Amino acid sequence: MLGRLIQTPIPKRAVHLCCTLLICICVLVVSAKAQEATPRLMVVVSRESPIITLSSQDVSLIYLGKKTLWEGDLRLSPALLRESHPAMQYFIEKKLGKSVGQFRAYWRKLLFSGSGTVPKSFRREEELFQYLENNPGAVGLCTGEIPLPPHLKELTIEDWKVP
Amino acid sequence: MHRDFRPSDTLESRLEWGIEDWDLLLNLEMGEHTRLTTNVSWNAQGEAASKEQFRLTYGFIEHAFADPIKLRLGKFFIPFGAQNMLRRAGLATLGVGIPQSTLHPDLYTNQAFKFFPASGQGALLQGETFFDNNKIFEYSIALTLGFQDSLKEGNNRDGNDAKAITTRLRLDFNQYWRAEKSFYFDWVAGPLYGMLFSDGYGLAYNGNKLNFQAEYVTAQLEKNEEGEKQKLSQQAAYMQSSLTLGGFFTPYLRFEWVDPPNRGYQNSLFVPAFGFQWDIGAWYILKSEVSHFSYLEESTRSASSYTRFRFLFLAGF
Repeated sequence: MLGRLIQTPIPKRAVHLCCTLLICICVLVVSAKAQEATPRLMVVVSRESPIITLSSQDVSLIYLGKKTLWEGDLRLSPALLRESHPAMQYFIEKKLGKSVGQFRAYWRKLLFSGSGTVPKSFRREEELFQYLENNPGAVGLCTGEIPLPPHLKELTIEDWKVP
Repeated sequence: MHRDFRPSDTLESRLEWGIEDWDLLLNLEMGEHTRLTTNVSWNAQGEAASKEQFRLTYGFIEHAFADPIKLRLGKFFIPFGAQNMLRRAGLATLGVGIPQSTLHPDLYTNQAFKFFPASGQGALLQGETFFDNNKIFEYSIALTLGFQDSLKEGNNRDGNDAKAITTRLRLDFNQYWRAEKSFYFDWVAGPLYGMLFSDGYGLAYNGNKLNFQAEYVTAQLEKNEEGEKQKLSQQAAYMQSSLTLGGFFTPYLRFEWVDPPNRGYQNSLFVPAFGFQWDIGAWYILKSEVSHFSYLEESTRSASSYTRFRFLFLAGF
């Protein structure tokens, strides 16, 4: 029975169909990976905040605790979603140039030497939005997965090379 | 919290278990420019070891005029070298303990003296500036109470008229490389010692997986002996390299060296160490380290050595 099956010639149409299916699967996997590698990121503040625009370097400095005051008047408090979120991992690795472990170690050093306050992290975007609403100096990093509430605004980031 | 397994001072094997330290860290933001930070520590062996059981490790008010100009007033860690400000931060450092050769060489051999005290009371001016896209320059200048005759901690006693100046300059060339230079000048109080001058250099590479750190400190201490002024010289260094595997497991190798004031014979101390850090979670870390001490006994001038194994579990919350 097996010998007969092997000897049976495979129809050309079936070969074409298999190849087409394989290519489709490859395209889907590649596009899914591409989507995974470049998640959407938005920098958001309260509408009451005087900040309108930031440079890409400003964002990095704020999340590394090196820029703590805005125009000498407003204390900046960085906030983000949990580091386990793919978009936050992307931000930490691509924008801050650190692994998640290094980012944690970096902030532990600042915390224990009395040099800074660790950025607030939230499990869900709704919680992050609520924190931003109540703190005019807070700067939040979110993914746009849920619509932005009216009391918040998205900042324009110069040289911000993320989709 | 941490616990060491180590031989006793008499080099007999000893195994103990317990909670050794407890740190309570408080950070209060008082308005847009000012914050108050305190760290209160509890030490299980405090009373037995003739130390304070509860103590204020640091406590200061910081006022930020701008990011490049921040003023701290109170008790704070002396900003010398890469490790001193992290001495209570097991969660933030790679090894079970920080390299003591450049911070506390008198722990390794009683022939050595401290390069600078762990903390000081006074004022600290510090700040950071950014230039040329991603270069960062950081400075710290501290004016504090200096050492007293014993060259030990606790220099906040009444009647201490000694003053000390510390300066640290740091340059981050890019996100990977950092170089730093530190000075410590101390006009030591009391008739036994004169001026202490410590001079430190540091270099660090922080790659995504590979990390490297090295420091070298040298010091000159004036000592008054029988009406004559002597100059004692001491130097110490360490090198540490590590490789992070899978983002959570980091084995490291460290080599420390202390060269106490020469007393007419070779009295250097070498400490090679090997260990690992395992990040179990964001605030849970397991560490272990084996280090070997080999030095010359001052009383007998004979070679002596012992091996120390340390294990540490850290939980932060």
